[in-house]
Amino acid sequence: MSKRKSKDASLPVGECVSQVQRIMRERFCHQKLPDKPYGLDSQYKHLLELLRRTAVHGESNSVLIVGPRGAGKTMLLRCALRELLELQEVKKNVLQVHLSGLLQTDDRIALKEITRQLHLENVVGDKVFGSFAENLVFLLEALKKGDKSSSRPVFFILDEFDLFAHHKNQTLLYNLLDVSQSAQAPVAVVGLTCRLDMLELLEKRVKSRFSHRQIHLLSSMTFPQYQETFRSELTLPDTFPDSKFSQEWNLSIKKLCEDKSVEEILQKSFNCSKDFRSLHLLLLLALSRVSVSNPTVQAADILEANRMSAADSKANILHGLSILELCLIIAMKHLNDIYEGEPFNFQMVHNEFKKFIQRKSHSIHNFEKPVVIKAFEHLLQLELIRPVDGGVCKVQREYQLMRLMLDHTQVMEALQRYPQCPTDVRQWAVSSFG
Amino acid sequence: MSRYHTMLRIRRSYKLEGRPITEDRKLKRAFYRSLSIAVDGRPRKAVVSVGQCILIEGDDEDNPFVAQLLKLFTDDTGKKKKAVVKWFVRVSEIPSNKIGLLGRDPHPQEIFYYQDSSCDNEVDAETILGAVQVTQIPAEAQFPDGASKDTLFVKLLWDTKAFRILDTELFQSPQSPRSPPPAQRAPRLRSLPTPDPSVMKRAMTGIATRGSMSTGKINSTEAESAHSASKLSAAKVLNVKRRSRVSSNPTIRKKLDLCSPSKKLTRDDVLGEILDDDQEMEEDLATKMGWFPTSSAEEEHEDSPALSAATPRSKRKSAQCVSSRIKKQLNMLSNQDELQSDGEDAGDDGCFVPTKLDLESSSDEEEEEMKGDSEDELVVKRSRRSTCPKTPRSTEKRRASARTPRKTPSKKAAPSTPRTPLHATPSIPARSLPARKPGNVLEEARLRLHVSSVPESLPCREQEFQDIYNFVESKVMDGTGGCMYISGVPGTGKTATVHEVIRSLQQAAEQDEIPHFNFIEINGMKMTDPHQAYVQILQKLTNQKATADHAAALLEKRFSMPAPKKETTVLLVDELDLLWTRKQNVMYNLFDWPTRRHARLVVLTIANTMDLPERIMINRVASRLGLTRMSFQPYTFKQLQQIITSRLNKVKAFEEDALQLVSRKVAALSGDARRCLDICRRATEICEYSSQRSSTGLVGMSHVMEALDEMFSSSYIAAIRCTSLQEQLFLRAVIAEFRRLGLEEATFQQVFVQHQALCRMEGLQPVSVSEGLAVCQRLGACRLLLLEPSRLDLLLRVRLNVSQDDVLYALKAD
Amino acid sequence: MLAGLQCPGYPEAKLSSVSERLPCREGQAGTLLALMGEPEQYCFPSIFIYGHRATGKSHVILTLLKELEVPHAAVSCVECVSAGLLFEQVLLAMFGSESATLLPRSPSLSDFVRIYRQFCAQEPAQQTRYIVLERAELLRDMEANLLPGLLRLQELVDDNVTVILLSEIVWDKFRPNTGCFEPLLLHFPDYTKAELLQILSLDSNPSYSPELYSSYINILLGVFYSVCRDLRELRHLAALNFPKFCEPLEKGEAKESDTHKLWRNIEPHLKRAMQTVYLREVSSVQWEQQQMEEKEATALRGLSAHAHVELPYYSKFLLIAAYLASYNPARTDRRFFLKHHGKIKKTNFLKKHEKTSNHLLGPKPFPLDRLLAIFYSVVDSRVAPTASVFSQISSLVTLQLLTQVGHDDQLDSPKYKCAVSLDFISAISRTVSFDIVRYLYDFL
Repeated sequence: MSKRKSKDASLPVGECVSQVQRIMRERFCHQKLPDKPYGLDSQYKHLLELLRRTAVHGESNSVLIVGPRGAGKTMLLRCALRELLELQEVKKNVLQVHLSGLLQTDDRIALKEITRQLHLENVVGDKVFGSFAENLVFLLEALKKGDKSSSRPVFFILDEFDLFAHHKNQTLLYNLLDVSQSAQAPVAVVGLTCRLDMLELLEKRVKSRFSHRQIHLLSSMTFPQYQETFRSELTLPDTFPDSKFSQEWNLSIKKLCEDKSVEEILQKSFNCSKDFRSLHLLLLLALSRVSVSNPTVQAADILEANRMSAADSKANILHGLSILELCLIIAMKHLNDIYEGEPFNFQMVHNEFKKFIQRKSHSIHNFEKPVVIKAFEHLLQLELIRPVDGGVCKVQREYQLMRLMLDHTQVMEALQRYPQCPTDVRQWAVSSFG
Repeated sequence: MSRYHTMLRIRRSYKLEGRPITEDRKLKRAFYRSLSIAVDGRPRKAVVSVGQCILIEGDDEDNPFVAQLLKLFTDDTGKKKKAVVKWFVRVSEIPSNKIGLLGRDPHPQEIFYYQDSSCDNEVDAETILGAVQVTQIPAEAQFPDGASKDTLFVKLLWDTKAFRILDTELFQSPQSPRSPPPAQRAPRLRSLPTPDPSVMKRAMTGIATRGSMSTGKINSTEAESAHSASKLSAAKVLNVKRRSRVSSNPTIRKKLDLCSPSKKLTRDDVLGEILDDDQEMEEDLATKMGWFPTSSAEEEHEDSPALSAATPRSKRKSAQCVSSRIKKQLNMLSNQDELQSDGEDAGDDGCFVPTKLDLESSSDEEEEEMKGDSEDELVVKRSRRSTCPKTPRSTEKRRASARTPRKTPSKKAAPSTPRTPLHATPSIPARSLPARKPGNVLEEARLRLHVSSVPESLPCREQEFQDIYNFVESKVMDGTGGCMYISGVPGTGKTATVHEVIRSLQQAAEQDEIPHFNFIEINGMKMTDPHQAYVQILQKLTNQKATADHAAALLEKRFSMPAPKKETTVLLVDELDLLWTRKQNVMYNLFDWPTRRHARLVVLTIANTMDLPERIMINRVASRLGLTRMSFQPYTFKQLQQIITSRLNKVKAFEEDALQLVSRKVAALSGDARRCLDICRRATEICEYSSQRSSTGLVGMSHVMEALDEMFSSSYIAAIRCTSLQEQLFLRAVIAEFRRLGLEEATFQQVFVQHQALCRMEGLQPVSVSEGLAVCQRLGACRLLLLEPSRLDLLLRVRLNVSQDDVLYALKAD
Repeated sequence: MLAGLQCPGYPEAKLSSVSERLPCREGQAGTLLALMGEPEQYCFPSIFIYGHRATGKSHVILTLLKELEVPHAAVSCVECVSAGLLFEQVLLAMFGSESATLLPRSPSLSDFVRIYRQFCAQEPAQQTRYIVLERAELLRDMEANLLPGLLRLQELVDDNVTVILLSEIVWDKFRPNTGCFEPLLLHFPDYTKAELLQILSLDSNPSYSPELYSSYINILLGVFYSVCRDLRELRHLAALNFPKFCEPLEKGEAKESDTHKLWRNIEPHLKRAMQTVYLREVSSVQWEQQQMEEKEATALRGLSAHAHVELPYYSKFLLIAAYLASYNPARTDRRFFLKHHGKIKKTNFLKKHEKTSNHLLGPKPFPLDRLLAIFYSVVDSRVAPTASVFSQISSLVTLQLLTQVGHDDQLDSPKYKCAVSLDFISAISRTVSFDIVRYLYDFL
């Protein structure tokens, strides 16, 4: 890169843009590891030391990394492993086993997977021989034969740790943690979870075997820091081939950060959630609008992106309803107002609707009952209304009790945005009682 | 050799021929000259007479064991026919890594004169299959070829170490069975319990016999102690005078080595250990020289093994050759390695540490490591069925083939491809670079504080130790069975104590104070369903593999049948409650077997609830479990403190008050020793990496404090403080709504209304419902809130998972 | 947007061809393309597209992927009764048959990921791979781990793969309880009336001028738009009724110009269509037949489903009795069914005003004896309480005209509900010339 920089190639704009896209997408979509976990130094140190001791001294350990979604648990772990594996002595020794609660949904599968990843001898190709029981015995014997000084340390990395706690008897956890607490092959059991109440999930004998080490990732980020990340996420590295372009780009980004409207949006999304994923989502949406014709990120793009991500999805759905369905919803809303939130059935809704037609409708003429029922059922399909009791009991569908799953405000908002909504319907909606 | 099959199928009836030739009044034994075996369906009955060579039913039907019949007698009851034999070994019984010593490949019909002090020569006569022709050939002569299938040739002598030329007078068919002179036996018995008469006699006659082979079913796993199995009979005889001593003598002794600095203890048992086995070679040597080491036996009996081992023996000439080993042993132990390691680096002595040996639940691994000692046969036994290529790593292979039936889904599938798990070996690859040794004091301390580091002794559990010890020992002594139920919250050293007990019992057995027994351990958590228990027990007892039902049947048979030779089996069942099934038949069997007359089974069960029997067991099970119960109380802070200090011993890493704090805190919370140790370890780390090291460089209050609240303080409050603004608002809204409703529960819709209001108050623009839901469900994901499934979005009910006060406190703070 | 789609990395020709195959959806297609970025660049791990039925969700995405020859697998969750099928189809589409065969009998997500990784290693992706799942709402009913797993598939298999979920239901109702990787939400708005008109007009009949057809569509929308905006439905209806619309022209009664005449001709016809074929009460085939015959007017009467149910005489009365029993409060039975009315004062007859009538709340359960009592008083001739009567009751239950409520174990007095609608029962009572309305409390 530096060579190219020195002769300062100026690439065509299209080339540059696609370069930008590539780099940014790496960051936003692929969770490219940063060079150093940001603002998590102490946790990082703790984890690193712990793993290092297992790798180097063969001291068994178990630790839990707890933090809300998108707090960077995986990132932290990956960084630690990356740095660790740079050590030759570690790289040659350590075995890694990666499990995820999402994939290994029970111990049978998990055991097979472990055996596979450890390349134990009852694996041929990627086929694991033996029954569940045999696999367990085999694995346990393997680990038991190991010993801290002579056999290679194993990192067990359990993503979605809480899901493992739901396995039958927590057999796997018990055994892994038991190994980590007894002089067998050195292991480090690292669990990642987003549940703060993780430990309550563990059975007491399992819990007792877990060395209660927890690394909490709780981002105490302030807004300025948030803005800073925003900027750094968008700035191009100076290894960018076309330095001229990258300077312009970075300049425009700096401007962007000063922009008031952008700041507002950032503030809003910061208030909503501090995690990076939501920020990345916003940025990706903005980035996707960058093209040759529009080679930098404009405030407008951010605004548009925000509009897309912050829209109320229910309102969007309501927007697409037919007028009949809308009327039904209004009727339901009225019923909710009258019988303060008691469930209703189709007959009542239809009744309200008919009253409306008779009394003050000019635009909407009467519909046959079956037609109305069809509309009603469409709403049911969209899960805008749901039956009170799973809809299993043997009553005629007209009399099945339903609840409306829309908030008063949502209905009103929908009415405002509804294309050429007849005025009488509007009035009916706002009128205090049906 | 299929005819053995057929012979096994058909019933045989045994009858002692003629009149008793001699009587032994003391033992009420009548000695006979010959035994007739009538096989129904065959006209003439086979007669085996004393001095003949015979085939004895073994666990391998194709090659039954070969022996020479020495005596035939009826035991005191007068019913049971017994026989005293002298053993031969077949080629297939020699450990495959020894067979090399032969120098030529053995003749298929060749057998070896077996000379080893370590097996029982008393056989149930009913296991005799029939006579066989054994001819001795001078060492240099060729094997006569074209000989009939059922003549066997003996040429050499096998004494478990090497093949030696067999001199003719050792093997000649004796004219008259030597009846043991009772006069000389009795007094000796009284004077010295060990080594038992049969050994002595053999020592004099120079006849070694091999016991574990005489049994039909009992397989080689028992043989952790096989090389002293012979002492069993002596123990039987001794029981009388034993029982008087049981209560007093050993207990005192145990107290002794508990109090004695633990390091010393290990050194001693190692010593005792080593000496024990070189005592054996001494006996062999004695066989040659014809004198008998009475003296050694006596002193061994009189003073406690713990101390005796060190002092008087070291004088003996054999000590020098051992001393090197001892050194090895010691530094090995100081590293506190577990036995596998000595398997690797400390070569054969590793597996001689009985404590470790029997701590092991499954004994396969370390047997691989045993090189050049009598245990080796066993491994072969296991692998006899599948003979396998001899390679440098033959132990490896052997183990593998040994496991074949267990490791492959179907026996047939396996051999097809070379790379099938036919040779599967459970092992973690060895590390390329050795692990680093601890650098500084703190690291040293951390090492010692790790739960895994095997403690040399268990402080604060003397009483429990004592009770369990007495229980098991008495049962082992008088060969009866029994159950014991041990309960206690996790981390109170239940399992550890039991292991400790077994260890010292094994030690005692090594010192021949008590008959040998074998120890099996299963863990309810380490099996996939309760019925696997049968499979595992059977697997560890006799190395056979079977389905759960079949295993159950076999065990049933084993424990209800009187077997020719049987040791007491001590079975440790950990995490008992996991063995619960609806019909509870697993538990039932476990507790029922000990009550059988011939079972000789001692069952120790461990669980962490005190009233388990009352809660989950149906009557018939509970009643069989009986009333021998013991509950481990959680450690008090004093005990915890003592534990830490004993672990640390002498390594000065902690300030006193720091230790105080930890132990008090833990004692107050759980009394879980593991927790305590973990905290201490964490504290050492904190101390090590903290910028401000306390002046002494020791772990101080501050560090311990930090470690403590790292582990114990709930993270909720911190979490709430770190949530985003909207999330905090939502929590507020939840509380507000709860207050309004006067309930602890509200639907999202209700809360959301409050949330909007709060937003307006805070001057934020209200969020859309979707965002609101997202916020709510983020809180739900980390369980600050408890939510219903998201399908009923607006209607999902919301609960707090934290106390309202905590929330308010957390929110007020900032 | 009229500039058409543009995205570097794809040939212009293709893009343009795509854009004209996506009328009125250039906007969405553009955003999607922009999100997808250049073929080899990463795309967001999971995209969730929601919008009403027939708003071109799958159409747009699939045309894009197909036309631009992007490696992709499209699976409709309706076809996947088990997760296994889903995995199989995905692997099949991505790596060919040999990969799918590797799946064990009842594959878990773990197996899927393993095999995926394995094949990925063999043929690493030059381009982003896409997995499109239609009707994604059904994923919620499969294994709990499936949806979260798919959402972060990119991380699990670490390959450049993007999962696109299509659904009519909003994302809020998908989120699993312990959260998951939040996908990128994309909304497909419904077509406006103008757009519908434009699209529908595309498939105009060659033998007539497009103007005529679009005017026809206009009329059609005028009738149906307020009820249904489902493009597919409308297209179906349009196709069905166009011949009828053209009849006058065929007969030469009218020219294309006098739209009013055509309108008068077609309008009632469409209304009828709404009550029948739109509700699927008649199949489209039947519908066409009726159009052939001139006498739909009569035919249509007999069409509504509930008209032709044949019941035995007493069963009809039993049903009527049941209806009365379940819609009248028990206390009113006295005055409806007591034989000699004379003695009772009219004043009692006055109906107390109640908030909701029973016909809103639905049928109430009633005990057997009440049913029989009403039955005997309703049916004019004497009927012995024979077994036949009871058997008829049970047969009514099996016909689901009555439903038995409560447990079956209460042999002594089973309770029933009447499960038929008012117009059905009135149709029945007409056949036995019984004026049911006179006996209904709600209609006094």
